[in-house]
Amino acid sequence: MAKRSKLDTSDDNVLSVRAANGILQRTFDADVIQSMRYMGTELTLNSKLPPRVALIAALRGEGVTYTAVALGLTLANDTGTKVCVIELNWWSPGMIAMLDPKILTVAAEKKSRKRGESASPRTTLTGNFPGMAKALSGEVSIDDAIIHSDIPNFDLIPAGEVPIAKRPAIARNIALRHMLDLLSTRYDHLLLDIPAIRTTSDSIALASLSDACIVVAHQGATSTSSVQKALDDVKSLTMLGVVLNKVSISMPYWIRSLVPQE
Amino acid sequence: MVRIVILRLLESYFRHRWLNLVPIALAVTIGLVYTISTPPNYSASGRLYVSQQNLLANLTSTNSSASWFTSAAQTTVTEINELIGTQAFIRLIIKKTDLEQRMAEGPAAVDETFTYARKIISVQSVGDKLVEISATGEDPAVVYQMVVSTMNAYVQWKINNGYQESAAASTFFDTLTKPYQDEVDQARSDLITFLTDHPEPVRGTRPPEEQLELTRLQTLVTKSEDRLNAAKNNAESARLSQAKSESITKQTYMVIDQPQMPQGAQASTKKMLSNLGVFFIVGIFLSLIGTAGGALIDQSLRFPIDVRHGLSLPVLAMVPVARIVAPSPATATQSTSGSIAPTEGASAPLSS
Repeated sequence: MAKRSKLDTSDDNVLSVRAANGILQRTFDADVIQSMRYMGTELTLNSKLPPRVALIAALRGEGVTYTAVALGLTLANDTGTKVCVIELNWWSPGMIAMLDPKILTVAAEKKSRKRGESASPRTTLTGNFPGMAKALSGEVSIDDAIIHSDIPNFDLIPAGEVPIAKRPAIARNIALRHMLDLLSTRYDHLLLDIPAIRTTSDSIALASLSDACIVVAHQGATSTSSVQKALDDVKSLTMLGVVLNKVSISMPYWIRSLVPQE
Repeated sequence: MVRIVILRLLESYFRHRWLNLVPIALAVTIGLVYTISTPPNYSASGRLYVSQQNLLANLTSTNSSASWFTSAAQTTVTEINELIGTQAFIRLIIKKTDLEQRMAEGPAAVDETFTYARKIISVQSVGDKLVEISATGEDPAVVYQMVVSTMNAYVQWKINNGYQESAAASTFFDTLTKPYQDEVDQARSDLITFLTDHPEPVRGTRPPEEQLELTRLQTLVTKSEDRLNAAKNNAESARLSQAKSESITKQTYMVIDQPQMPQGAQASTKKMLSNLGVFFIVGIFLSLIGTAGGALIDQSLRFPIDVRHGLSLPVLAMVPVARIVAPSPATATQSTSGSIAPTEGASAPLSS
């Protein structure tokens, strides 16, 4: 898998998504796209990819949102199916921040300086998009909550803002199920961005809205036991597999290839 | 499971490959400091030639202490080492060195001095007939004195040993001579008295009773004289042995190489390198422990095999760390200019 990604990582293979007239945009590395393409191909060819897939993780910060958007973008781009990524993570919403070029600029500057103060104050665009929260509360229609991208068959719905006290109720609300049912009629695939399983039990209720789950784990950081415990919590759900995210293997590939891993 | 362990160990090593060098560098640095800070050592040695046979020994039928399966040198080495283990002998050696000054500082100092003396001196055989006595220490005068004193003490001990045995034998036989002489005198006196009382008859022979008694008395005199002569001979042999002991010992243990006062410190490159090598190996060992410890502590999901083995799920993708790509300035400016309302794109109706 890693070897395959190494073979085809030219900049021509990057995928970019722009939305809201360029207010939101993100370019995904060729390596990332290559991995997603491999996964998407395997799932679609084997007919394993159901219409509604939840991306779950054991802990926060595993990269569920990133993986969901990258996977959705790749699927939409490669297969032509209509894909919508729905962020249901009101505990730690990150979709808008991930697509916010301003935050990306600050992050890039920080990284280039290694250490240093941010060049400009950090403001997020989260409040500018109603998201799923307002659509569920009826303040806006679902159509208003959807962010269309420059790729016609790829849309995004951010989480929006929900008070802490209302989150358990909204996660178990029948309205959410109805809304997902409605969206299922419009899209071929819904990718649900679920909060970390080990942080709130609401995530179990949210994950159960899907047909199957993909577990995202931060490679080299998340312990096996944490993921196992999370899987025990959602053992009634169908698991498609695990996405190892933020992979960084220090061992040279030629040494790794000497040890069979199958 | 073995593959997981191998992969984790290798990954643990490569993940901290530079950190793994720290214990090695640290150990080598400590080794260098240790080598440099170690005080210089001085060494002195002398050699004894141990002759298994010499003329006097042959003439007097004195046997060598060596047997058919050990050389004389080996026997001597064993003997010296055993003697050095004794308090009396080591005390005798120390007495003629500068270490003697420490002996007055109390029982603890005496023990320390004995231990130090035993530590710095070493005896080894060089071939079948040569014994090398050497000493290595921080004080050149002391090491020289220790070698000289050990050689002298051993030879003197051998002389004393032979002398004392001969003296004891001589004294023993001397004490026997006097009663034996008295017995001879008594037997002779009894014989003379008998002959005076019973003179030879003018005609004929002695009666059988007289002849029998005379024979008995004559036999008694002969036996007493033989016993006296044997005691005298043994006493003479003991006195001879007493006289020859020193000569034989000096001929048997000849000092071939006199020890020299060391002029310079012993700077052994080999020893330095071996010290550094030991520290280097310790460093590698610590590094390996660190690597294994890192692999042991790390319980995270690292390889697809971890997922399959630990979670019994397939790995769908391995997504590499994403590069953070800053958007083009024009776009970034656009996104930061003023308040942003949901745009046309964001509020556009679904196209389904």
